[in-house]
Amino acid sequence: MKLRTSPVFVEGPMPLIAPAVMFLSLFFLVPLGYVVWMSLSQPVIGLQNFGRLLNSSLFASVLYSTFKTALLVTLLSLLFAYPLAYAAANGSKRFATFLLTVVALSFWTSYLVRTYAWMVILGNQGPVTALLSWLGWDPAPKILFTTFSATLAMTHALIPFMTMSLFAVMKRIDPLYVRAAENLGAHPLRAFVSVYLPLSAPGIVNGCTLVFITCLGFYVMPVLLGSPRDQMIAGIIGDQIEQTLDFGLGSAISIVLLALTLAVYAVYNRFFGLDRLWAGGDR
Amino acid sequence: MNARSLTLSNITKTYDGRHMAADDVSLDIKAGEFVSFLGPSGSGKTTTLMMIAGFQHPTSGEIRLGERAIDNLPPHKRNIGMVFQNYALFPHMTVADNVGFPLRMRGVAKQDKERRSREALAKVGLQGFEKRVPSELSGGQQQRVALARALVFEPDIILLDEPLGALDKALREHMQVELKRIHKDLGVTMVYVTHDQSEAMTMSDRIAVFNQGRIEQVGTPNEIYRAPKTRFVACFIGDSNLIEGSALGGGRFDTPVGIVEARSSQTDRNRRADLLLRPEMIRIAETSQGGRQPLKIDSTINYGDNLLVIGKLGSQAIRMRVPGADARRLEGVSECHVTWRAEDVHVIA
Amino acid sequence: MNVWIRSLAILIAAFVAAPMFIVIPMSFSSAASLAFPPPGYTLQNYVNFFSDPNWTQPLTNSLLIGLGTVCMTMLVAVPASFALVRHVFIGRTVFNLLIMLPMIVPTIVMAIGYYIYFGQLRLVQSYLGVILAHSCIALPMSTLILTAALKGFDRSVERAAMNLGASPFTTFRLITFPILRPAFTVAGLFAFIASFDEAVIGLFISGRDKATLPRQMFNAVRQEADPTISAASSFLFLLVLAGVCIWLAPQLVRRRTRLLGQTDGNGAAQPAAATS
Repeated sequence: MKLRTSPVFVEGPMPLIAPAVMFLSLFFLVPLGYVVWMSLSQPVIGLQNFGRLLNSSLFASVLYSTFKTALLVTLLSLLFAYPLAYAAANGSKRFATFLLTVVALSFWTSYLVRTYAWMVILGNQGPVTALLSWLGWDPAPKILFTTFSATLAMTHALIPFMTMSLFAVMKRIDPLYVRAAENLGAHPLRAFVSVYLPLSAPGIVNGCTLVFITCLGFYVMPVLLGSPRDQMIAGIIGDQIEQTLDFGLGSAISIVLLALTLAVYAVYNRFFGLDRLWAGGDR
Repeated sequence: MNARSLTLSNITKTYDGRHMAADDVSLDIKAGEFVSFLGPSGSGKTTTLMMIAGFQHPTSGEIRLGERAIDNLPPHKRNIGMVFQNYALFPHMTVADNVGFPLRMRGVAKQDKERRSREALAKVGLQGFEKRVPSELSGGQQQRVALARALVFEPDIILLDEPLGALDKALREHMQVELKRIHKDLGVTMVYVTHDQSEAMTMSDRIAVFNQGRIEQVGTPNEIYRAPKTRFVACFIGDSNLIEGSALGGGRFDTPVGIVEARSSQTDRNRRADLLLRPEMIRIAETSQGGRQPLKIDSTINYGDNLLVIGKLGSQAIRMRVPGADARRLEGVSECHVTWRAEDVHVIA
Repeated sequence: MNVWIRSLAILIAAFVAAPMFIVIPMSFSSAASLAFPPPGYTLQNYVNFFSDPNWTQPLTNSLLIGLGTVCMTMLVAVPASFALVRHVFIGRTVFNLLIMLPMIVPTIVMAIGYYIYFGQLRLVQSYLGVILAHSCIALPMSTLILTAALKGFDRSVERAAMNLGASPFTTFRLITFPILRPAFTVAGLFAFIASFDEAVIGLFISGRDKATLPRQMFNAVRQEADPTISAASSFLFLLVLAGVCIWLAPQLVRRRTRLLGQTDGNGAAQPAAATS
């Protein structure tokens, strides 16, 4: 391997490309192909799995609630992340380090750890319930295992993603622009809305796209914290594997999820170019 | 140090089969000589240097170092020293390790290696910098380390790729002198790539002028300046007046400024030729000698030590450099008479 | 900056950080339930976490799978990133997209694919199966890190090394690799964490035997029966906390040195220049 990565005397890039192409073909494309094949062939060859989905009002409501939740989580995390990223990009160096450390702490903590934390906090023996009943809300409402708890946890989990996307763009915005606008007579709020906000738009687009897509396919938190009656799409795929063992239907749902995800990417790619999504908005 | 000659025979290099990065380049560089490759960017000078170093391969032609053809040798077996444009010092190694690197590659024993590294650093005036890392050095110091590293292993030849380009003017002039001194002390063959004509003029034994992949002319700085073979060379080096004329025989030419005599080998009658007249060869005349028209002065630029006069002699645009001492005579004057010597007019065939 | 924005940012930061800290007191709880505040304190959860095979085995499995994933990922990502940055070839865009694809396809979709495919290859409930799947997941991010570093790499140092007598292999060993080592380390670390934290694929294909830690935690949370999950969570959280603090430390030290450099004048400015 090392010899081949030698800088100048590589005959061509083939030896460098081959490992990735072979590896991804065998262990990524083939299993992905299996999903497509299963959706079309189990139990019998044909489109009947997709037909079942099309006629299922349950699936339609899952799809609807997945979209609704993903959209809500995206907007909420933008709402929380924007001031955070703004303060980190424009505050003193010490303050920025503090904020970014907090974000990094959350970013690197496993979803399962955070899920467990929310179970304690929102559980019926937890601090939130205790607080509500102390305030006189008796009996305290059930918070855990509702759409609310799943949405809250997912928002919390995805704020770091959003913050990083925003911060990457914001730290490159020259504060002189805003100062120039103010110097030219704009009220600070007006200067923010007409200068800073548009300049930070690429970060908003990137962050929202990433969070929305992640949310569409989220499995762990909705399954563990959400309402069993109000599942998201990834959850019902899991059900097909674990409980009903209906791989044909599970694969078909997967294909729908994949198609939705790809559609979002395609729209992004059409307008902004995929390269930018992972590059943090630059180039 | 062992100097070797370098021979380039009909080197061509093309990437796409049509555009020539190097076009039939042939050149003999004598052992111990200091030769500059001078030309605008994209003229093929760096491509040629890269082929000598072995980082690119000629499409055809042969490169010989001394007696040995080196075309098929990979770069690490060529024993050529090279100073890169941005120095290319290894950022993760100390100065001593950088300079010792080529010796380490040649299996030189540790003590010997350290002694020779120290000596090489002393030659470039950097004693005591062994323990530093490149990021702690100034541009000029990095330049010196790169030079020490290129000569410590006594290469057959040293290539320098615009080594002074990143330095400021004062430091650049200082390093020019330094480089020249090292060249003289060591007697090593050096090939120096630059786009700066004054750098090439002051340092080189000979200059090869590159243009569009070809060598337009090879010669001493004097030859290149006084007797350029092509319009390109005449214009690229120094300031110039090019006057078109047709030969009348006997070194006389019919031109827009009248009949001009030139230092000339025989030129066929009626053949068209370009006459080169350097601006500093034109002088202010006392009266209208030889019936020449007066120079209409359009504008002047004062450089302090000399005055550049831009004007017209008849329909011909003329640039003239007047020494500072004579400049006062042109104050408030819109016309003056000028003259030059026939031997200062060079005919470009 | 506006004091309101500062306060708002601090409030949001508190919302981001605070919930996770609850796992620390919980890990010492003597109750099997999720009651908070805990009725009493004990170390029993930690004892269980580090001695009960139901937990030690998944921890070991996850570490082994993580290390395997690092090796597998680097074996593929390093050549790929060199090709992407240093070569122009037909199909480069497609190749780039192929590498990024695992980041695009939702993990749950891949989980069902692996479940079926590895079932046929008899790789379900094996280390190798999970390692292969996790390497696919880790590949895009590791490649992105490597290509970013390679783009910033000045290739003339490689030419210099070869010019000075180093063979291509020696050049890679003594020059390219050491200069890029930080990027290699970060790419490897990302691959490890991607595997160590991955729950969905691990859940479906690691099986009882080769269960990963996230799988064990997932089941513990779902069943709400095993309080050891609190120690596991706390352990993982403290690991991240320590990691983030270690990452932070050099920055604090650097700022300190810079401050010293400013007050002491020239003498102390030198080390600041060296560390930055």
